[in-house]
Amino acid sequence: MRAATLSGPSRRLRLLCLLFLAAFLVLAARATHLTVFDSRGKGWGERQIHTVLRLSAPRGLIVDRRGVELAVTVQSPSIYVVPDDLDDRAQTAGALARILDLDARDLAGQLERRQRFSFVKRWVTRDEAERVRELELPGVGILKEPRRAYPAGALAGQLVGFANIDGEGVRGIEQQHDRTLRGRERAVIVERTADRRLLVVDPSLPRDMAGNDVRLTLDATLQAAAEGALAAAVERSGARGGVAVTLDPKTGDILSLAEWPPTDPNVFRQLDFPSTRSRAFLDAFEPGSTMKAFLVAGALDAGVVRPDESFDTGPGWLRVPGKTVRDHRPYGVIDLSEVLQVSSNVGAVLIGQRLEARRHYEVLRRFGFGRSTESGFPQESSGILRSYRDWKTVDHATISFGQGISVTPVQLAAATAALANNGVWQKPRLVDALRKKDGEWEVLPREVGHRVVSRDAARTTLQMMESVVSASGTGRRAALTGLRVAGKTGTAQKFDASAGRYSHSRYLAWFIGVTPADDPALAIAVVIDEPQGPAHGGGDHAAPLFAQVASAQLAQLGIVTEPARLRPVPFRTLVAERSEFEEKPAAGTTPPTRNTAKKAARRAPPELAGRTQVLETAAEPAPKPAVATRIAAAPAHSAAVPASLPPVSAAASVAARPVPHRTHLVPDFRGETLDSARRMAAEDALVLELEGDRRGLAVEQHPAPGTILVGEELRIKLRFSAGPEQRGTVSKEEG
Amino acid sequence: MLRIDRRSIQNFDWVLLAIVAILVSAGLVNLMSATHAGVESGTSDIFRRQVLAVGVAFAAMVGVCVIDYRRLARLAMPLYIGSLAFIVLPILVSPANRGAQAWLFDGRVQPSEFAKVALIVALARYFQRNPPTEITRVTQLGVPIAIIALPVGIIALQNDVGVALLTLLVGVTFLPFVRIPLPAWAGLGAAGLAGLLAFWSYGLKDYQRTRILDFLDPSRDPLASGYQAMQSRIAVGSGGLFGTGWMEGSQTQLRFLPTQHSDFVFSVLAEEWGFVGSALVLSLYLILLLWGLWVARNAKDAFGAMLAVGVVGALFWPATINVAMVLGLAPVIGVPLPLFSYGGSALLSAGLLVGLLLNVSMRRYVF
Repeated sequence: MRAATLSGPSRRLRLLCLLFLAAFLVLAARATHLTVFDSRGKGWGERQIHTVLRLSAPRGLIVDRRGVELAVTVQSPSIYVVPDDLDDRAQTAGALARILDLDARDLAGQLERRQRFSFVKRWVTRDEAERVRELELPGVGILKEPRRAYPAGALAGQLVGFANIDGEGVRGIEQQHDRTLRGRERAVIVERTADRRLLVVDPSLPRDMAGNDVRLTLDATLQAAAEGALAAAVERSGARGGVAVTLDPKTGDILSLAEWPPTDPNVFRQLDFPSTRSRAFLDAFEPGSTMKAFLVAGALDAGVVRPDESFDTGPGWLRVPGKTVRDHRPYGVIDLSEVLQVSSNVGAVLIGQRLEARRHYEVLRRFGFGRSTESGFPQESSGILRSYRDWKTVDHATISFGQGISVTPVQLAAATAALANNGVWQKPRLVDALRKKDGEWEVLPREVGHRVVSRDAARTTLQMMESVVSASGTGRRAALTGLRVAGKTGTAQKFDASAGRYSHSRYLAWFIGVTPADDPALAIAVVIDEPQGPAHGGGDHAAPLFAQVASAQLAQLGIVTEPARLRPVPFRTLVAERSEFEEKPAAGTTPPTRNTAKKAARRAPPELAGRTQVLETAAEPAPKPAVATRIAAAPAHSAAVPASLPPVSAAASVAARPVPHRTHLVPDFRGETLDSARRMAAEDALVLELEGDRRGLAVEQHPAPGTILVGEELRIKLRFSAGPEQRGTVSKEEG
Repeated sequence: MLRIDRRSIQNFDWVLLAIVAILVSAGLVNLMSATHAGVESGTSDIFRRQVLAVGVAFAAMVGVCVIDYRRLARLAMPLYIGSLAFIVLPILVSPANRGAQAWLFDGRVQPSEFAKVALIVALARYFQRNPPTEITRVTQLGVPIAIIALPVGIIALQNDVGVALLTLLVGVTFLPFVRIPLPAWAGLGAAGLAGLLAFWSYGLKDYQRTRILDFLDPSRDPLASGYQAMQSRIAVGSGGLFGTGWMEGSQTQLRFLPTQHSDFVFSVLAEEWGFVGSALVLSLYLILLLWGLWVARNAKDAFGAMLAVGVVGALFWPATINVAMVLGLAPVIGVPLPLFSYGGSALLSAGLLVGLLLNVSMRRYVF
């Protein structure tokens, strides 16, 4: 049936088919000719557009919360050539090389290559450009390119980041908000005039092609204060570096984020790219004993401990399967507050056991550990917190005092801020507002935080953390005059990947703190990376840094205070006098000065402290010498501790000595392994002299435990012995 | 008759649909780049309107598929007369628009695109009743020539030379099926040539004549009317073998081509995807056309076969003429590339055409 309909026409269909094939063959042949064999079309095209450059319109500004400019765009001249149009390549190369300080032979080689267009040197000085212009060389042109400049130099360098030569943000805020900041790309046509001069046809730039501005939560004044204090602390301790993060606990705003070594984004081309990363966001460290604060808050919240509960830390050590957890010395029966105050590892393990792994893990997660804070910072690290399902007993024990977990300084600051914010965690905010096309700032909404622990648990923990900063606490050097400070020290051994165990010589000194503790304005986390010298603990390096950062920043906010100068006091003495101490500071920490300070703050609005101050500090990042020497030189006088104890050999504390004069109670090293002896010595800044078989345990020590030492450098002789019966108790550090 | 036979669903021509879908998708990707320059962010309005048009055209295609094409045979006459009325409308209501009066609703609808579809149906109906194989004398061609001449004349009166020519060529597609002797062919050819000459002298405006002269000698005036042809050639030449890359064509992105989104959209393809890309797209068109002929061959009845031939013709002529124009083988006449160029009416009529073809194809076994 079908055959009947089209049997005749099927030949005609074949005809049509052939017609189609022929037509397409012609088209294909013509296309081949035009694209592959006949280059005239391409030549015509090149003649009408010499080349097309893609240039970005200027990037938007990055300003701090008060409008201080941290990143701006300037127009910078670049020299380019069109080699085909050059008269005498060698002569041109020579002339350009002289002016632009380039190698003449390299340049000649570049000009020989028959590119359509190439840059000779980008971002030259105005003077160089003018001299090139005067030569009036055919085939050589000058083009104004937008260039990023950072007026504050290295101030907040890692945070602000930088844009590369093509105007593409590759670090920090410049990367995070590249889409906002970036100007719209436009094509710029380079044409050739009749006399072979090159002409850049730059279509007039519509205003709205420029990128939009970004306003940070950062306060440049506070940033400068923090960077100054950090630089001084790193220098003083001979450390590799350090970080100090300050948050506004109520909002999560990042007020300052100081990092050392600094990065000056103006010279990013001379820097090693990995070194320009923000360690505060990208690097995760073991937090050490700072974790105890969050453990206590979690335990209180879960109701597994009472605030007034006491813990028997026994002989100062505790066996858990696979490890012996040790305190610096036996503390006996101590209450919850004292666990924090003296940073008892045994106490922390006992509390951790009460809380159980799952709830412990969950509260740490709620505090923001083991996950990105989602601040939006590029490549932000999540830190490392393994799931509780993978915890062995020993893992749970070590995590209780901050070993086997890694955190970023920003995570730690955010968690500290949560304690200060009545138990509500706020996402750290970096960017406050974006400027819309109409010039109005559009404030990015603050996200509602999530509750980590109950208000009561957070407040109680914060109160207990004040004892850490008391004269008998590990963080006593974080104290500020006239203000209440809550804090926690931490000392972490760095993990030595090549040796596969914790290092005995490289430490991280941590301090987290909140001030004023009764009405938190600042939540600060500081870390010093590998402080040198006999003392390397959080109490020795990080706590004073906290005091410096906090006092300098509070001064900018109009609150007058300074680091309290405390004299270290032996623990046992203090335990005996505890009742006295608990009352006296209570009276002393709510002095009338606080109200006066607040009034002063109202009288002098922070704006006044703004611009000029920043520029001064930015120009001179070195620490204010007066403050630095005062701390180092005069450790013997205390403003907060009443002079119930006579100043000890004040004459010995000379300004030239960087290590302050100290008084110390010798701990009991007997029965310790080398590792733990070192850790104990480290925490108390004692120098060990070792004898005997170091694989074994300490069997003898001099001076004897309980001796009070006074001096600048405190030395302990230890003799080790590796008797076979002692092997069983040798603790092994967990990887 | 509205019911859809199970067999016609089983025999649905997925290959045909796939070829068309690939072409339309490639067209959208290409159009995105062609209209990219100067766009603030995201995609251009033109691109978004085209996406919408693709949706409408798809719906029209499905709609055409659903109705058994044999029902259309009885509707052929009303459709044809309706379409004539539709193309007369712009003359009555619209002022002169873009040198041509062939647009309705502020230039949003181009009725002549739909006249083509009606013409195909009418011719198929005529040749169903009067099988072309039985047409052996020129005089027997009077009626079909009149059917073709009416819409062509009206469109030509509106100065839309490109569309008039295309409509004429759609009719010409049926010619190979008639069996007239060789001398009669010669007579027809002579008559056609005489018609063209008359048209050249009286039917064309000056600028149209200039265009054709420019085609014969592109360097006559490279900045004026030969400009498009020249720029098109530059763009194609700049593409080379592999092209400059999507959104990377400097000729395209600097908008040297004034109508690169509609009539010269193929030059964008040639610049950015090079010879390889153009050859691929051309091959797809060829496969589509040959597939259409296969559908004609296997059609259940003469009406279906003739419909398929008409559809194939309505796709073949604009595609080849457009590409020939871009490649400098034909003068610059306003012929869009079917399924590729920007244009809602053209896309919708292409949807109707493809729908007809699918319709014939899926019912090739239905009784």
